[in-house]
Amino acid sequence: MKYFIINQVQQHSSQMPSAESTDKYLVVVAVIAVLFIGIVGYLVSLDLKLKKIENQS
Amino acid sequence: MKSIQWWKLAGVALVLFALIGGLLLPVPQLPILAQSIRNLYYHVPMWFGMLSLLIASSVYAVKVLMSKDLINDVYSESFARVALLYGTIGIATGMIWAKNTWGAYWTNDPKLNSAAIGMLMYAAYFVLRGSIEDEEKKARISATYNLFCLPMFIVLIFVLPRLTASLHPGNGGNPGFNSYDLDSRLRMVFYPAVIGWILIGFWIANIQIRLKKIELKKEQEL
Amino acid sequence: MSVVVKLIKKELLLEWRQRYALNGILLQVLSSVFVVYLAIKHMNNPTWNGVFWVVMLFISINAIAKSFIGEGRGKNLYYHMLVQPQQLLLAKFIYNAILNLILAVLCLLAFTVLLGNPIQSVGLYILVTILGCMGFASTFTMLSAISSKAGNSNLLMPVLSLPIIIPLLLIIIKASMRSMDGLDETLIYKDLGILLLFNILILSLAYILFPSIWKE
Repeated sequence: MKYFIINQVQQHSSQMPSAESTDKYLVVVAVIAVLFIGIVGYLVSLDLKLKKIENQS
Repeated sequence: MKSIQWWKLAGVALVLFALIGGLLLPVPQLPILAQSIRNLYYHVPMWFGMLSLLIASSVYAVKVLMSKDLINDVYSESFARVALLYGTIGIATGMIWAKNTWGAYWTNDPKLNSAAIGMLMYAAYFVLRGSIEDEEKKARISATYNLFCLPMFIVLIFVLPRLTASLHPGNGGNPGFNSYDLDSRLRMVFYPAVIGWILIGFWIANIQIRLKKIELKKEQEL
Repeated sequence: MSVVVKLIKKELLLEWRQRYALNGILLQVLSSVFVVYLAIKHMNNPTWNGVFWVVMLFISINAIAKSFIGEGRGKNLYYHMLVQPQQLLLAKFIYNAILNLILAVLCLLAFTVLLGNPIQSVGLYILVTILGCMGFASTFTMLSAISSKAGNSNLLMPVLSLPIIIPLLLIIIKASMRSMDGLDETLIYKDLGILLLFNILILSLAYILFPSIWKE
């Protein structure tokens, strides 16, 4: 994956990104994914709670 | 997990794919936009989501006027509320992109102004709702205003920007998201992102509607 | 149709009897133009045009707001029994359009006297103004009806009207700017066509939606 990103950027710009900056990029991607999964987890928990209440009545 | 409906999970899967793939998959190189074209996957689906939620809201507004059932008003309001949320996120993502590409958070561009005015129109919808006490009257009057707003909103978003020159990608000869620019690499992430965000929007609205229904039921029991 | 004409006559008669309201609006036109004159000494053509339409916008919001907001319960009940909602809407719309046009002419005169008149092709400018006033009248009549049903109507009226009128206002300002500069006429005809279509859109929307506001 790392190789792939470096390749991508290298093709189109003269600047060669360091391995360090690629790492940072991957961290950003991971953080965004975790945030989204967190939001989805909240939605799922709400949905399940509502389902429980709906079934009770 | 099987008690969560399939379309909600499909929405999550599509958005997750678009979030990660949007940052890692290759994109075509265009002048000015460069790598910021990736915002196509985050900014544009918000407007598609907002528009489809607003259309859903107005469909239920028609139902309010056709039948006396107040539950339609709950639907109409929740869809409009999530649409406003999507619009806010759309403006925020657009502003961050504009700061990096144009050098300013806000430019006097017809597309930006139209979006802001559209948001004001729907914010006024909630002010109107807040100022009517009687539930039946509130449902009827706000449904009428909703239906009066939607054509204006569509004129604002689709017709007006085309009448004036715009810097926005896809306008005035700027490279952008026109059909010929949307090559297969962009489409592969863009379409899932649009569908996924629309589904998530409907999910959020769905949760709100069910919550309101339970509240209504509680009130009736008391 | 004869009902509509009678309703318009009644509106005019009522307005004539309570002349203080009419005088108030006329005075408002003059004083707001004077405020503009004092605030902005030198203005170029786009500013002249923009300020003219902003002044017109606020004057017509104020003038048309009272077409439904001021009406008492008894009067509404009276209308309910006697006329179809669409007839009432049409009557109010036509009356407001006439009122708006009179205000526009007055505003134009005041602007000419105080700030000079940079308009190149007057005929086209007046045509744009007529279409613009009709658009203002139909939108604000509808919104006045909506806000009259809510509490706090006087505050609600501008909150609802200002965002909704902006698309129309932008088209009007563009079209009137073109006729002001006396540019190629074919360009203006396109703008006039758009304005006309927009007017038809608003009016037909109002015509369809008005009965659902009106019924109690």
